[in-house]
Amino acid sequence: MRERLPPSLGELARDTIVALATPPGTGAIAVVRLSGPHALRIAYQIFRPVSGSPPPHSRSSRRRSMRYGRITDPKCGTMVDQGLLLTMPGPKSFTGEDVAELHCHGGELLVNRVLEICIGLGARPAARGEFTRRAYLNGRIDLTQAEAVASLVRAETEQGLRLAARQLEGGLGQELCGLLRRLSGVAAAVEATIDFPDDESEMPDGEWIRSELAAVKGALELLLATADSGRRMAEGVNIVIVGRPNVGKSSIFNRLLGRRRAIVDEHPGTTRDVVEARLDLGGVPVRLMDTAGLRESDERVERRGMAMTEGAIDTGDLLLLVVEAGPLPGPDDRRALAGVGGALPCLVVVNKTDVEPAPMDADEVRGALGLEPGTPLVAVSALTGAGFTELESDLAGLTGGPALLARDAAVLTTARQERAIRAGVAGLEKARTAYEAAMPAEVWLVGTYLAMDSLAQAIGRRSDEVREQVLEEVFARFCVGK
Amino acid sequence: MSRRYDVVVVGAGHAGCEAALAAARLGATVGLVTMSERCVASMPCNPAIGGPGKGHLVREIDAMGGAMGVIADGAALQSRLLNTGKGPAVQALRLLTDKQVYSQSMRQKLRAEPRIEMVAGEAAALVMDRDGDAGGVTLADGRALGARAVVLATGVYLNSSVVSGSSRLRAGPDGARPAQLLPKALEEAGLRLGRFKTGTSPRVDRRSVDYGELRPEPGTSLPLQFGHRFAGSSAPAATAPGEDPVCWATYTNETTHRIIAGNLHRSPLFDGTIDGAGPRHCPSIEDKVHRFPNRDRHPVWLERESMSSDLLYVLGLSTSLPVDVQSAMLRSLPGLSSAEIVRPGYAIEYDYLLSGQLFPTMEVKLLRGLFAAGQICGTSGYEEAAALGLIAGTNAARRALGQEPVVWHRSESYLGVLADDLATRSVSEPYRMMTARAEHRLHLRHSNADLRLASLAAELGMIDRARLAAVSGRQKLLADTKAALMLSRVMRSEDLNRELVALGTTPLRQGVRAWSLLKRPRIGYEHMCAWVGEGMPRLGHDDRQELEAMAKYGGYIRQQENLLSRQGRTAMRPVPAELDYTKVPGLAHRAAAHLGEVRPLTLGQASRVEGVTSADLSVLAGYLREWRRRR
Repeated sequence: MRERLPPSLGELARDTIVALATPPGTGAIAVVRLSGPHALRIAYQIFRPVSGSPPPHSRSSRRRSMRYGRITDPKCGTMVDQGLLLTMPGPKSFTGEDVAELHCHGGELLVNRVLEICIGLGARPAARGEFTRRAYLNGRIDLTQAEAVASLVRAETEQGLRLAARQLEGGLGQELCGLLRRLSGVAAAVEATIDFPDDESEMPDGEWIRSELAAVKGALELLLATADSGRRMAEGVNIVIVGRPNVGKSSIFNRLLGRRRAIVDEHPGTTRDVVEARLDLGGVPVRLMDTAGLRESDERVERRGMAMTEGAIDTGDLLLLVVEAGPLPGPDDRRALAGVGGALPCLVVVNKTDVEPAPMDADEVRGALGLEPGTPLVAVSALTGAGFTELESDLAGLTGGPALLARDAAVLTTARQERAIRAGVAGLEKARTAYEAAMPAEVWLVGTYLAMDSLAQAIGRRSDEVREQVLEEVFARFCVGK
Repeated sequence: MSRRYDVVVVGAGHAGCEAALAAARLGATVGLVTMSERCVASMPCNPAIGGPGKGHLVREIDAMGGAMGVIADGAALQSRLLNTGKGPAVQALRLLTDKQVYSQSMRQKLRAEPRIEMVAGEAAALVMDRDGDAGGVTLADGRALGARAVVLATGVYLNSSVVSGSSRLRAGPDGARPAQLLPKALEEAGLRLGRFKTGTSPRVDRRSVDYGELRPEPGTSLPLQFGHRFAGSSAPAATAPGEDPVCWATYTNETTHRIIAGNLHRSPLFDGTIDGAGPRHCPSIEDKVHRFPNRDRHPVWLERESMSSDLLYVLGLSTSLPVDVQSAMLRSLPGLSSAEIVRPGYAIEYDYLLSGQLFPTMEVKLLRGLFAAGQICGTSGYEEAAALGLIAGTNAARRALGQEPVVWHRSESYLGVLADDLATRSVSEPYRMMTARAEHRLHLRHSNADLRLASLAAELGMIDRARLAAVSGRQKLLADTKAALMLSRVMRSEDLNRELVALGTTPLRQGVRAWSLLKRPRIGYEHMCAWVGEGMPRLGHDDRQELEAMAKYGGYIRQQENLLSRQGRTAMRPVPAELDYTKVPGLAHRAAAHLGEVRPLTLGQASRVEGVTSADLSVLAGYLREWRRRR
C-alpha cells in the first residue's frame, strides 16, 4: 500500500558547520569538530586512515569509529598533520546530526589550515553556541541543559561545576517535565469529561484536583527559593570590603585570599585602588573587592581611589564592613555605609582582636553603626587568623551556596528560568482561586494551562505542544470516543 | 461539451453542499459535481449532529448563513444538551437526526438555489488556465467544466477501500463507487496524498431487538435548535419528535470481550491488512478491548437512523472484524440476542491531502484557485466537513469574483481554530474538533456564535440585513438586561440569605447589585427574575445562557484577553505569502526552512510553525516592520 510521509524538513538544504572545539592558542592537541549532513563526507575527504578509507557511502563509513591517520589537503594531496578522526553518525550524536572530530596537533597556523580545508570542502564556520543550539533543536537536550552547557564552561568553582553538571544531566529539565506531566494529568482528566461527556461523565475527584495543583505549586515555590542562590552559583557574587582607613581591610582581604596581594602599610590611605580577586567561598564564585578608606581627603590620588570605591559598591552584592575592636564605631565608620543606604546586606567584621581581646557587645556595635539588631557580626584578627573560619562560613552562608548543594534536587540558575517558574506559580495561583470560587472547570483550566505553558517555555517547548500532550493523555488514559 | 461556472465543487457531501451554498450566497454560479445524486449530504456513520466542539462549529456555520444548522433542526428526532453540569462555554447541543430527511432537505435546498447546477458525473482531472492556476475539471465521460475556482470536497471517496474481516473491496462508504481517477490527477499536479482510515459500526434491524432489556435514552424537552430563529419560522421537524424513544443504551460484557479477544487475529487492524492511520478519538471496539483490558464493559447505544427505515445504528461498536464475529458480538449484548445485522460494520481507507499544503483559507498552496474542504483535508466528522466547506466555498467564490480571501481567526471562532490547525500543524490522524483545542474557549461559546460572527457575515454578504438586524436586536436585549441588572439592587433579607446558603454561596450582609449576584456560581437568571421582581424580560434558553456567561466569565475573559490581545495584535499582523525567508537576516536556517514550507499568512500562524523559536519570531517581526516601512 502506498505509504507516504510528509517530506522530512531535514531533506531541505542545511549547512554543515565546523569550528575549533578546544581553546585557541598553542596546545598539544586541537579538536576540530564538524556537524551536519556533509560532516562525514568532508571528514573522509580530509582524512586518510592509515588502514585505508572506507568507500564513501558504505556502511562502515557510517559507523562510529576512531582511527589514526593523516590529515591531508585533498587539492594537492600534501599531508598537513597526523592525528585521529572520530566519527559519530546521527542521530545519536551530540547535535543529533552526523558529527566528525579531527584531533590534530595544537598550533594556530595548523588549526587554521585544517579549518580552511574543511571550509573549502563545503563546511561553514559555526556561530557561537551553534553546536549546542543544534543539539537543542534536534531534541537531544532541552533548554535547561543547553543553558547548563554554558554554565559548565563558565564554572569557576568545584561546586558550580557540580551544579552545572547536574543540570546537564537534565535534573532541572526532568523535574519540570515531571511537574508538567502532573498538570497534564489533571487537565486531561477534566478535558475527557468536557469533550467526551458520554464516555467520561464523572469529573475527577475534587480533592485530587486540589491536591495535585497544590503539590505542583509547592514544588515550583521550592524551586523559586533556589533561584537567587542558583544564579549566584552560576554567575558569582561580588563582596565589597568597606570601612574607614586603616582598620585592616587589606589584611582581611589578603587573609581571605590566602596570600599577600594588596599593599598593607602603617599610614592611613596607602591602598590607592580597588583591588579585586576571585575566590571560591563555599562553592560560590566570589569577586572580593578591597576599597580605599572612605574618608574626606585632600590628595587627588585618594580622591580617585574613593571614586572607584563608590563604583565598586554599586556593583556589590554584599558588604563587609570592617571596624576596629576597642572603642565603639564612630562617625568615620558610619560614613563607610553612607553611600549605600542600607540597600545591600552587610556583615560586620570587628578586626584586631589580637590588640583588644576584650569581647565587644555586638548589639552596642550594631547600634553605633545604625544597623539592624540581627546584622551578622564576627570578631577576627587578620594578624593571627583568629575568627576566620567563622567569618568564611558566615559569608558562605549568606551567599546560600552550601544550602544549595545540600539540596539534592534541581536548582534554577538563570533569570530566564526564574521568570518562567514565577509565571508558573502565578498561573497556578489563578487556577486555585478560581477553583475555590467554584468556577467551572474550563475557567480554572485557564490558569492551569498558563502554568503549563510557562513550564514548557522553561524547557524550551511550545504551548501547542502542551495542548497536544494533554490530548495525547486523554486518549491514552481514557476510553473515549466511538 | 463544456460549461462555464464561477466555481466548480467536486462532491456533494457535507463539505460540498456548504461550499456550493456559500459560493451561491456570494453571487457565484456553481457547478456541483457528484457521482450519485442520491448521496447528497449523506451520513455514513452516526446519525447525529453536534456535541462539544462539533456543535460549536454548527452554530458558527449557521451564524455565517450556512445550512447545516437549519437542516439538522428540521430533521431532528431528539435533542440533547451536553455538559449541563459544567460551565456555559462547553455546553453543546447534539441532535439525533433522521438521515433521509436530512439528505432530502439538503437536496431541496440545493435545487431551490438557482445559481447551483448539479452535475452528475465523476471528476477525472483538473484543468489549468493560462496562468497555470486551477481552471476547472474534466469528467470521466469527457465533459469539461470550466471555472475560476475549484473546490475539492471528495470526502472519503478517493481511492477508497472498504475492509471487513479478510475482504477488501474497492468501494466507497455505504457501497458507493470509489473515486479512482482524481487521485492520479492530483498527484500529477504535484499534490501529495496520504492514507487515512476510519470505521463505522454495524446496523441492525430494529424489529429484531428486545427492547425490554434496553434502557431508553430520552432527549431534552427544552426547545433547542442550531438554526437561527429569526428568518421566518424554524421549520418544524418533518417527523416531529414523538413519544416513542429513538435511542437506547446498553453495554458490552465479558462474553463480548472474550469473543473479540479470541478473534483479534482475524481483524484487519491487527493482521496488518490496514496500514492507514486511524483516529484515536474513534477507536474500534477491538481497539478499546485491546487497550483497556481492565474495563469490564463499554457503553453501546442503539439509534434510529430514520423514521422511514428499520435500521438501528449501533454506536460504540465500530469494527472491521468479519461478519460472523460481529454477529456473535452483537448477540452477546442484552436485548440483541436475536439481532439481525442488516449492514455490517467496516473500516474504510482513503486518500487525503498531506498536511502543509493548504493556506488557512483552504486554498492549495501549489495550485492557486484550487480549494479543498472536508475529509480530503484530513478531518473527520460531518460538522468539520461542513465548516471547511463554508470556508472553502466562501474563498473560492471571492477568488472567482476577484476579491481577497477571508481568514477566520482562532481567537474569534472555532472555524478559525479548525482552519489554523489544519494549515499550520502536522496532522497525523483524522482531525476532530474538541473544545480543548481552543485556547479562547471561554469566549467561543455556543450561545454567542451569532454575536461573534454576524457582522463579518453581513460584511461579506452571507447573511441579509434582516438577519443582521435580528442579531443586533439580540445584542441589544442582552446589553439592556445586563444594564438593568447592574442598576437593580437586591436587598438583604433572611429568606434570601437562607436561599443563598442553600445554594452553597455566602449570604448577604447588605444589599448588592443584582449583577454581582449573577456572577456567583450556581446562581442563574431565574434567580434574578425571582429576586429583582418585576420588569425583567423573559429570556430564551440561549439568551439566558449567554447572559449568565457574560456575568460569570466576564472578569476571566477580560484577564485572558488582555494577555492574549497583546499577543493577538501582533499575531494578526499579516505576513506576505511570497516572502523569501532565506533572505531574512538573522533568521535561523531551520526556522527559514519550516516557514518556507508552511508559508504562514500571519505572524500568529508563524509562531505556531514547528521549528520556530521566539527569537526567530522577533527577528521576523522586526524584518516585517522594516519591510513595511520601506514600501
